[in-house]
Amino acid sequence: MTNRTEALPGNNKKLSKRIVARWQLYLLLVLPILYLIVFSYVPMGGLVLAFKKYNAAKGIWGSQWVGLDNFRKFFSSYKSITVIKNTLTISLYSLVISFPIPIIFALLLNAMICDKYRKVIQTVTYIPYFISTVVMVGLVFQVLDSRNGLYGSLYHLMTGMPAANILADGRLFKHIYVWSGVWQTTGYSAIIYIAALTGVDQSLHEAAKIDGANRLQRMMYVDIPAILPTASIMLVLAVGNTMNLGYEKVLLMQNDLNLNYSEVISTYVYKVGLASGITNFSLSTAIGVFNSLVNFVLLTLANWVCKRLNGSGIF
Amino acid sequence: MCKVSKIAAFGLASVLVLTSLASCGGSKESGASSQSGEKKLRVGLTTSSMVTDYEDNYFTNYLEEKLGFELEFYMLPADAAETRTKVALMATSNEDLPDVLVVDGHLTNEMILEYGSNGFFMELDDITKDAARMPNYNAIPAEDRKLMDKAQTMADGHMYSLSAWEPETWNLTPNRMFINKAWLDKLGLQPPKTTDELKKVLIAMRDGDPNGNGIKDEIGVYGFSGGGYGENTTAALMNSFVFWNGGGVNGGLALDKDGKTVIAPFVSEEWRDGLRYMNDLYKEGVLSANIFTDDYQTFKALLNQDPQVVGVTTAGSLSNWPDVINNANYAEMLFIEPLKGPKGVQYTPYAEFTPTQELMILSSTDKLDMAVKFADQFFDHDTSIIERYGQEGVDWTREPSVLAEHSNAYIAEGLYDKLSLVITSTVWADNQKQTWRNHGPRYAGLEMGNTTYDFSAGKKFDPEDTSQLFGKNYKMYYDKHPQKVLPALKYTMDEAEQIQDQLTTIPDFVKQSLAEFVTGMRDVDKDWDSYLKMLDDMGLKQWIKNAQTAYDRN
Amino acid sequence: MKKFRDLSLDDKVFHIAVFTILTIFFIIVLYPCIFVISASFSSGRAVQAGKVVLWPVDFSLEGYKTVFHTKNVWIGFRNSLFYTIVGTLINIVMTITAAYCLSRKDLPGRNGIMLLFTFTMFFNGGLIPSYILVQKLGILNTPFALLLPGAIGVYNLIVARTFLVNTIPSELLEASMIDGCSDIKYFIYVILPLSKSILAVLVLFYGVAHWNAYFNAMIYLHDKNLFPLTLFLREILMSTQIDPGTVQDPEMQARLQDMVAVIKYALIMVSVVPVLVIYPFVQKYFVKGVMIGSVKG
Repeated sequence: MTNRTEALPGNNKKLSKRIVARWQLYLLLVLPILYLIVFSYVPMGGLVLAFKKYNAAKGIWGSQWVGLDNFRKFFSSYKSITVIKNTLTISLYSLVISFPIPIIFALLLNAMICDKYRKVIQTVTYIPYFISTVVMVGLVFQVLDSRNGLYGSLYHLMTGMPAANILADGRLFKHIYVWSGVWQTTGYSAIIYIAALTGVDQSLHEAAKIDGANRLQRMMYVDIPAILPTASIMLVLAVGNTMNLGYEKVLLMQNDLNLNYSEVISTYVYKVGLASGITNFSLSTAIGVFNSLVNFVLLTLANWVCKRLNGSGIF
Repeated sequence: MCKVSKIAAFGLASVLVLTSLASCGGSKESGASSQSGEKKLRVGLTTSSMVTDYEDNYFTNYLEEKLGFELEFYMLPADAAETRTKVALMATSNEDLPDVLVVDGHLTNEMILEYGSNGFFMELDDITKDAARMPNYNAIPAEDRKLMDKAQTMADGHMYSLSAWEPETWNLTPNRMFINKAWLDKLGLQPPKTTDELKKVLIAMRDGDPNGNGIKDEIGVYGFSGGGYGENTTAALMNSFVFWNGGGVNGGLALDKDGKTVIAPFVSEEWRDGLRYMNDLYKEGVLSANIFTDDYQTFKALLNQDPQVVGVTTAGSLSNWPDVINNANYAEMLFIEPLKGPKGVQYTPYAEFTPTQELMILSSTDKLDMAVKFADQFFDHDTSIIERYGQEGVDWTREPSVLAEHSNAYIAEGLYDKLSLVITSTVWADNQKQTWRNHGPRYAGLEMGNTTYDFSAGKKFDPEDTSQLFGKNYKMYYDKHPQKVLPALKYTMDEAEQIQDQLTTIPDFVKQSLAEFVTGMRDVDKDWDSYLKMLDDMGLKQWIKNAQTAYDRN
Repeated sequence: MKKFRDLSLDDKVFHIAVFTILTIFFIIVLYPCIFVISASFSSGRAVQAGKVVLWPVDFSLEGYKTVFHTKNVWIGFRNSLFYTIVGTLINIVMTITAAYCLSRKDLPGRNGIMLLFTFTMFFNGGLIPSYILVQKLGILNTPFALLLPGAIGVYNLIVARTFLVNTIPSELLEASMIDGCSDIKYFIYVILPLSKSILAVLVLFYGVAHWNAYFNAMIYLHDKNLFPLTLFLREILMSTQIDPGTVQDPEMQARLQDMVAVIKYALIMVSVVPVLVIYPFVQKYFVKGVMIGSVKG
């Protein structure tokens, strides 16, 4: 009873007292923090590999220091500018498209009046996420085939002309990559917003209705503000993920005519390992560190902006 | 209350699963680490998705019986890149390791050298020479054994691995060219022998609607450049101008006419002529840009479209036409020789047979004698057969009376007298537990490989059968390459590291540029110099220099 | 739910628009699902020749027969189920606990701890030290190697914390404190019952991640009896790609594809079923207005 006012934020008791008052919370945090130290911070020393030339026999600590050699190797590569540019282009484009679409999808789904149909849509749109990338990319090619695919057939049907081979145009690569991603992951990415929308206080909707707001207005002024905090955190996280463009799907979608646009950092690292016959842990660690630094800076920036606008961020 | 019961049910379910797993895993574990473990050899084995069981497996049991001790498995992934990662981690941690590795050729020469020279893999120079320890290996005919020794010797002059010697002629020239004979007949044309004739034929096919559906949907030349097994038609056409192995081995480098100097065929004037020719075909609309964009799935689909739309293609495997014996599209195809170019060049992409490095013994093993015995067993004649074909009398036979009933394409072409083995089961194409799917070292000479007949489909050899191409391939393709071909090079660690970037970027750039020149995105006349300049900037010279050093060491 | 005709004109237009957009999207997304189902019921030959476009061609159960007769698939299925259930349980307990603590604005140092967590999203030691750690802990080639590393997904932790911060009104905390509720009691009796929808989301996210995970299994396990289904699935999917650099006998490999084409899609179907079954259960907790009663009460 005595500590009830201390429970509230913004009071000006001494720090030590405030800490003691929250001992139960610290107790609960023991296990997660222990986990964090053991599984994340203990192996973190491996980052030094970025500055070493890895030798399996000598281990991480015994390997020779090479300073910034690994970084130099990457940045002096003939391809480094292209791959960094492509990575940023595809990632940012992906962010602009794949971030808002699940939100819009969740909002529309939430506004759907037919309950059963809503559930069917929700379930079906979630499935493609589980279809392996290899199969999904194969399907994309099949649909976009300029002769037999849906695209080719429709084009031929409407214009009577044979369709152009859009897979041969490297400039279209980012569109195909990103929109096929939308195709596959929108349903899954929307789940978090669907869940957040369930937290909307229904009395707000009732009140807005009485004020004569139609459904669209209620979506704009009730639903959207309700998921805004979630959305902004998701945006911050997505921005912090900019450089992490996975290699698997890109590699599968590469062809001789789009390489100028489709070679990204991760595929480049993958190929270096493959071509030189050696798994170059030092180079991949160095590139990983570079990516992480960029990501971390971006995330911190985004978080700062988010805090300014919203009052809350990740940290 | 509903909630409580649900949680309870969930908890119960997980406990059940947990215990069932624990009991399964547990019994396994205790079996592995029990006292008898001392007599077991621990084999790190690259798995195959087609093998359903390794413990209860005919080949495992066969080996255990022959060797007199049991095997225990340490499973490695089926994928090459993943196996490499896993071996790298094992080398790092250096604990709880298997005694031997059987890796299905997944480790590169550079990796073997790295792990060998730093002592993770055992050096085998002396052991392989010791006839008492490796009797079967030493029983291999000296001529072949010398080649195997050479293949197993890494750039530092030492041997750390044992290889599978199974030469054959079919896989070395995969870019087999097929032309639509039905269309030729319809248009009253002869199969082309030169690149010029091909162009005329293709134009006739373009204009004559040979598939008779009233639509100009005939493709002409088709293939797919990403294909790993002869599907890259542009590589086949390029070989009518200059020899190019297709880019797979050594990134496409070749030897000059003197047989001594390493050169890059893709900077030659002949290469440029080849690009011009293909660009010409492209402009005529008889060579499809789809060659550069399609994947295996779309390639196969188009090849099997009804009605047929493909005039000319190359393929390594007839399985591109599923159920080939009854495949209507394949029935229209005719297997033809590589085309002669305007300067009389008539090559086909070819890479020398290179034995794959299959087995390594880890230096950390405390069961060296068992490991050596295990390794040597694979070179035993019968073991080499069983490893590949399965159980005698069930999956294959060498019963003289049966052999006498059959023949094969090589025998029909007069290359051999009689068969040595008839395959009687579909074990290779099945989910099975008869073999490890040919993982492991092996010795099977050329004659062994070419004197088998696959009777698993129950169909006797018929010389008229158009899907029996082994003999024809040997006659029409096998010698279509320069006398001396650059063998797969082995670099030292330093050399490999110096040209790491080149090895990654140049072959890709060459393929990409080929596609761009052919499809006219770049001009063969105007942009050629900038192409050469770019290759220069990418460090082509350094690459050729290191390749030359590696070749001279050979 | 109101009847459609009772709505105002504005709303009618709105709902028709919503209905149309969602239906179009629904159809687009339905296609790959139908394709995989159809391919799984078609003959391998038809699939390979690209004959399957929408409906099954040469109806065949061969794929399923092969899949169900493969011992590895059953072992993998059982293991995946185990890793998913136990792993998710561990994840949920750890994550929601940490998320609750870090959502308390009155916890001194919470931003520091949060930064500590967030930092690990970007910087990790990489493969080698993680492998050595797992080995030193003695959990290499045991189920724990898949359960313990990654016990807290920082991404999910942030999502959960955001949810708690934004949906649990601070008045609740004040009220509970006045009632003499301790921090732990408040967590168990107030927070948890109110967090059903975020718990459902976490179950789904973690469960799916466990079910789809393959990399750690590939790296840390070498006993086939411990392999999850994904490892087998991947082996099958990867075996369709011919890389002449590593394949000894491409002719044989090419022939193998007939076989692979038959079982590939059936195997995908088998692996998707569990995630499909669980979704409706999770959806049940996405019910509107879970908060109203508690906040007002």
